Amino acid sequence: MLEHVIIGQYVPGKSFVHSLDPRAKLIAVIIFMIFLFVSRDPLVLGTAAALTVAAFLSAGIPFRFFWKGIRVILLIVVFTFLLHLFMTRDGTVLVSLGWLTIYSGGVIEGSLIATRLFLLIVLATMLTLTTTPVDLTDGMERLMHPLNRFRVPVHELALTMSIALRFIPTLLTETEKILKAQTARGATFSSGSIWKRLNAFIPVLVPLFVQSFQRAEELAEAMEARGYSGGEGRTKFRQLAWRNRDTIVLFVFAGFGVWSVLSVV
Amino acid sequence: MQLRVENVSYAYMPGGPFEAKALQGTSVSFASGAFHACVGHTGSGKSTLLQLLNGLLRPQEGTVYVGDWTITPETKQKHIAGLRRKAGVVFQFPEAQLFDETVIDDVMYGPKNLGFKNDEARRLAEEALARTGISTELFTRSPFDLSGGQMRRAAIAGVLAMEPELLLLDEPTAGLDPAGRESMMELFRSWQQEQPERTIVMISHDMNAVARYADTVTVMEDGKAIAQKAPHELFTDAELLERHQLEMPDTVRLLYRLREASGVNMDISAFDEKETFSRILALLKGGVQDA
Ligand SMILES: Nc1ncnc2c1ncn2[C@@H]1O[C@H](COP(=O)(O)OP(=O)(O)OP(=O)(O)O)[C@@H](O)[C@H]1O
Ligand SMILES: [Mg+2]
Repeated sequence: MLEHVIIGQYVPGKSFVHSLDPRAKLIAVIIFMIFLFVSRDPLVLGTAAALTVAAFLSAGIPFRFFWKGIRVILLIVVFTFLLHLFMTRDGTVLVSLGWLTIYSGGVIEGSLIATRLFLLIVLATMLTLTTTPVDLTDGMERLMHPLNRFRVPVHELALTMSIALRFIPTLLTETEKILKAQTARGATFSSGSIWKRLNAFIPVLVPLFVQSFQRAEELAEAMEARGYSGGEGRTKFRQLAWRNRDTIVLFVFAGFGVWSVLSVV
Repeated sequence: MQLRVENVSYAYMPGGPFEAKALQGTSVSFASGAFHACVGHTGSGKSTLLQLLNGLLRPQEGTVYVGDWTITPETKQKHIAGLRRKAGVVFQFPEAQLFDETVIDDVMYGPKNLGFKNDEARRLAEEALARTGISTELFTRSPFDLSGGQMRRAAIAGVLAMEPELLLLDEPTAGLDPAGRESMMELFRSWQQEQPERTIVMISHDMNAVARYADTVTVMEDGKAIAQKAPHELFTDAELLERHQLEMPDTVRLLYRLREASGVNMDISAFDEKETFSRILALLKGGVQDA
């Protein structure tokens, strides 16, 4: 199951979405995230869905691959939907089964939240699937650059982030390896009481931590050995290039934001 | 334990852009009570095959027979839980599985999972540690304070303590010094020969060890087992080795070169120093007669 997780993974390609400047993609996702939660207008949500579908189609990511990767994350969406469904006490009663009462407000509220979450997850995944981790952190660093003036360690944050992103797949592979090794030693992770199940993960977590710390140390040494000394005065080998298509994409998403606000006022 | 793999295919991340076809309809069998080796290029599917043999992976096509178990794509995980008792796996760099506070506790983890009582598990662990050459005063140390070679031994003890009938080894000697490699191989061989049904399948890039210790050698290439031969057959077939880019063991290479240089036809299958020496001696004696 772990081998299908696609968070932090990059799928090489030459699509329109791949070719966009990471800054444009980042800003677009941020705009999308904010204004998606502003409006309850079905038309606005429909537009958001259309934008998401357009992004997905033009990114050229195989559907089966994407679906498998996102399935696990969808559990969160379903869970959120159910939570709202049962917890909202608004509108007319639709179903009443003993202790369980479902209101029409719950259905509306649940679908609304679930749709928003789903669209957001898909679009954010599109961002990471079509942008190399290096580009992503470059973009982030450039966008946060003004914060340098307020003594925010922008370069260090970006570096930390890029290292974290880089090592997610490694960590997953390693987890899978250790899981297999302990399974072969007779460990079971899916039976017994909650306490027993949690305990069963200690033999997986300890080696994982040990290896992560070892790796961190090695990485730090390797960086120092190659003369890394922080962000001060550092130049970039890779330059980002802003093009017309980036401006156009930003306008489209900005338009979405404006409309989303207008539909509320 | 008798092993058989029939038309088995396995791909990692099937259907995606990163699909990796690890095994492509391969068939191979390993007889019970023998020491089998498996060689081949990196990426040829050796580790995948090994994981199929103890049910950690299920075939996506084909059937795997391990002792009394039959594993097909539909087989449920529950169904093969019993197989785990009988098949021990030592993965590449097994020291990554150490986790407990002391060495002895770590080795007892497996037996305890199998349901052994504390004192029984301790007895098995002590036996296994003694066998792998970990001295008693290290038993209560943290496994993370051991040297690399000792960690490897402790990890292997953790698998032996479960008293498997089948031992699956994935490059068990990688990264050890020559003396460590040899004592580890001796350990595996004596373990295997102790009881008639004990079987080993070992993946290795170390042709010297394979030639000396294995009863059969299986050659993997592009997700298929393409040959299974006795070491003296495989390692004297220079053409076959060349074709599959396999190395000759050092002793065979020496004799092979001598044969090429001298033009004297002689048997070049010798896998230890003594045999090699007697072959060279015979060559020299023959040479003296010729002259
Ligand atoms: N966990 C995994 N996820 C994705 N692909 C994998 C995974 N494990 C192996 N593969 C791929 O499957 C193929 C066979 O791998 P396998 O590990 O069986 O080879 P191997 O013969 O053991 O190689 P080596 O000698 O390097 O250990 C390779 O192409 C490899 O990239
Ligand atoms: Mg391998």
